[in-house]
Amino acid sequence: MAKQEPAADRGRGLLELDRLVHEPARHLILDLLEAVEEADFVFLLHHSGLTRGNLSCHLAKLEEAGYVEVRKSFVGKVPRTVLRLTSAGREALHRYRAQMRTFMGHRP
Amino acid sequence: MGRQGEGKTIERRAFWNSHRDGLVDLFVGLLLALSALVRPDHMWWVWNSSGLVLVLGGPYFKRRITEPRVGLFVPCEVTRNRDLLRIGCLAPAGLVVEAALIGLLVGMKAGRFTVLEPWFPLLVGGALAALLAALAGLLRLNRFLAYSALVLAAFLLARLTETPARLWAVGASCAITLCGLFLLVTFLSRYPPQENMDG
Repeated sequence: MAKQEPAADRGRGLLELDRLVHEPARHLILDLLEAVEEADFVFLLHHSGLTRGNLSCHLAKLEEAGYVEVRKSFVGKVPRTVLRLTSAGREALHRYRAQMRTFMGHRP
Repeated sequence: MGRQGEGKTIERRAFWNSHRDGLVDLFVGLLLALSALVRPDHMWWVWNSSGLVLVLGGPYFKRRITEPRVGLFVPCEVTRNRDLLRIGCLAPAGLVVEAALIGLLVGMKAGRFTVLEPWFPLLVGGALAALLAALAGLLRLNRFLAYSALVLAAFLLARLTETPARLWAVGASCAITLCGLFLLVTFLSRYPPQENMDG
């Protein structure tokens, strides 16, 4: 029988979770961006159900961490923000999922 | 549901949302109505110029109507490649069917293939239904399967009642156009345009 990891070690694993990804709204944003190549701000606004200010704030944090690439452009005279998940963001998301799976796998 | 499954669900919902505007329904409905109203030997002209309208007008209307309301997304590379492959297979197949139907029509006018003459409208109906079913797969919209069944039923009824297929085709295309109009009005009233697309 495989030797079980002590509960304290599993708990420590949970403490190592990437808190930037752990936050539900940011996790949702990363999930949405992972499913597409790129999307604009209105798409995320529409699909996440977050408010404009809230979404902007979370995107700024994700951009700062290098998880999301932000590109600003103009459609006529209207500014448009297009977002894309970076490889670092994709890696962070996968790592977070693996950590959660490991942790949840030990739960009764 | 696995991660891939969830990603696909998000993508599917994104596709569904971006076609909630009913623009494709309106285009298809009007194209079918126009095809039913012009002379059969002018139909090729209607269909080929509609391709131009779709290529030039489609992105314009999407940019003006849909994107400011529900946003823009670019599907992932796998989906894009699969769609390109599907279009690459469907477009030549569509052209072959169109050429075959025109050839048949010309042949019937010249006194050949007379045995197929009573079945010609049904052949056209079958081709249109197949086209709409292919469109349903390409756009991931199940309502196009209903349109496909509607068009096939219209041509079948025309054959069964021995009434002009044109009348039934106009009826079916009016139903599709009205559906598209209803979707467009609902879409415009439900989603106001975002004046600022900037984050």
